[in-house]
Amino acid sequence: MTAPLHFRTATLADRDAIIALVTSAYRGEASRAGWTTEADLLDGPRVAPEVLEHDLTRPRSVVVIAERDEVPDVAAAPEPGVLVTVRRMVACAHVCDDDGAGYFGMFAVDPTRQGGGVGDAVLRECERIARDEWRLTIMRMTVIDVRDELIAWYERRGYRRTGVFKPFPYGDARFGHPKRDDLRFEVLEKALIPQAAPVPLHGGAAP
Amino acid sequence: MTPAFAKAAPSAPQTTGVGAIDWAAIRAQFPLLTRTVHGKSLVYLDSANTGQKPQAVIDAVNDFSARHNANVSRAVHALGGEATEAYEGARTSLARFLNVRRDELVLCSGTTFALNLVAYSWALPRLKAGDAIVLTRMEHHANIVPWQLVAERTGATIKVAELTPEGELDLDGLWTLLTPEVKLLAVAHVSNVLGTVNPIREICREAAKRGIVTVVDGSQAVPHRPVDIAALGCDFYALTGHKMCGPTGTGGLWGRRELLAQMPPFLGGGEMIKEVRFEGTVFNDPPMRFEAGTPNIAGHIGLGTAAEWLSSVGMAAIEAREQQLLEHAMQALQSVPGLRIFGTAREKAAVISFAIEGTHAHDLATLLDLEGIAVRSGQHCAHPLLAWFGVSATCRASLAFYNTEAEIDALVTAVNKVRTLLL
Repeated sequence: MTAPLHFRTATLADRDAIIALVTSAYRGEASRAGWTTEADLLDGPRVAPEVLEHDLTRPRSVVVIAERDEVPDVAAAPEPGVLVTVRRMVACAHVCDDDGAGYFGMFAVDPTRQGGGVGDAVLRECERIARDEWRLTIMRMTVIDVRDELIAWYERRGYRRTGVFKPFPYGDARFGHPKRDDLRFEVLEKALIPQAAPVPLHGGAAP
Repeated sequence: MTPAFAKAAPSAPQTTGVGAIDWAAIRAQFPLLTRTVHGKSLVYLDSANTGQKPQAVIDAVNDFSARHNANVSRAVHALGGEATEAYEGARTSLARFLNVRRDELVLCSGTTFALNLVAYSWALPRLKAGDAIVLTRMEHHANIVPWQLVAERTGATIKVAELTPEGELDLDGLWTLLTPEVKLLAVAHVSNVLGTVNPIREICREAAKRGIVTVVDGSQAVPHRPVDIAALGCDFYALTGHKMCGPTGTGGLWGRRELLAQMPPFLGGGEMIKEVRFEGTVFNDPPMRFEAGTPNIAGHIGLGTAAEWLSSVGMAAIEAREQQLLEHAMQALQSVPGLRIFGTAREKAAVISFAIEGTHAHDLATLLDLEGIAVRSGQHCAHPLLAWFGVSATCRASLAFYNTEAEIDALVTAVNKVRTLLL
């Protein structure tokens, strides 16, 4: 049985580990171990440190870290027969209040741990924060529009394509080095429905 | 063997929603509410001060004293086993009620003890000159004075988050206070004067981002709304038993296991040790490390019963019922000429502080008492808050699910009568 995920709120101390995780999920050969790779589309950084620092510290902006207790390689045990679990960062995502709507981004799952429901759980946790803590009614994100498989993953989780496109920031090195000249973002969105139905004040029977 | 009293199920009816609940039958389980005061039927509107007890809680306490009394965790005889089982069973009941692990729940005399435990065992050894503690304007003295004592001894400073005119926390202002020198943020879940329900999850989230430890005073929240501590994201949560249908002198502190494990004992004595030698003592693990001496055994068994009893009614239903009563009371009281209500937050518990122009709160409360109506008057252990509102005292009517619309109407009638006497 897979160990449960633990969510926590990232602090500035997590900055470098987050950058490493996000980079490993999208860039370079390491990312090809998972299906989220953008190695054929882009090189270079996926997240700029100064942007991440701002996201980690401003109000109504949270980087959620998912961790799992894992048993490391038996050979790494301090003594023969002693197994110590290690809490590992396996995924992260950024959620914020963007002028009254939730915005989801910087979503990364360790390429060696993809396909096990981790990403689904992280997305749901971010939706819960936007819906229950900030009382937002909509979640949005932007995805590179040629990534059909990724968009389909979000569509299975209630997101829909809006037909609203945003230009890719060609020339801004913080977003990496594109390998094609036809990249653009599409906005996806989903309505966040309050989960806990209010207790009826009058009459127990259905109306 | 399970003690006989543990088999006695709480007598609340099985219910599915607020509308399906026979609130008169619930009220009938509170024997004190049938008495008279000064020849009048008692109207008890002081539940924020202390709550009344259902028969199931009274019976649990009495049954323990009458049939099972023994000390806990230190006797091999049958009664010792029964007492320990019942006491630890109460911890389990309370932990389930709050959705926390039982080994992270310290049983203690109430919120004041719980907050002092955090102040002395967590904050005092860690804070130093240059550090800061953030409090809010609406805190009860129990969530102010322990931090002042810590600040005096460590050289740390205290910063205060201010309120909007409606009595809500000014969140943008609070965020600006959360600077790098802040190590601890202590905040009420629900204000005991204003009824304001603070957005604890959002506050704890912002604090966690900055590595700030959060301490939540849950005294006025746990009795009146579902509280899932695990979902709040705080580091410590303090609660008191006597406001939630339990006996006085009971309560708890929930703390994150890793924080509790780092904390030295607060009080020394029996139960909190593994081994004592004059050369040195090995302390017990949490929560026992913080439970020196013989605890309030009967009281906490009563508190465990109270948690089960409240669950059987349903905390969501209790919250909804109290919101009905609050709405009725707010509308009815606004009809009284010259009456000012302090605290009109969007999310508000059933606590109404008020004053009538030209009258003193103590005079008002004294005359209401002669009408059989129990409200609190004074500063409600919140001097800084009342000073901010520019008043020396208020009357406070605090409601619970066992109150009725008729009692609120009786309050309004009596307030009008008293007002004409005083003015």
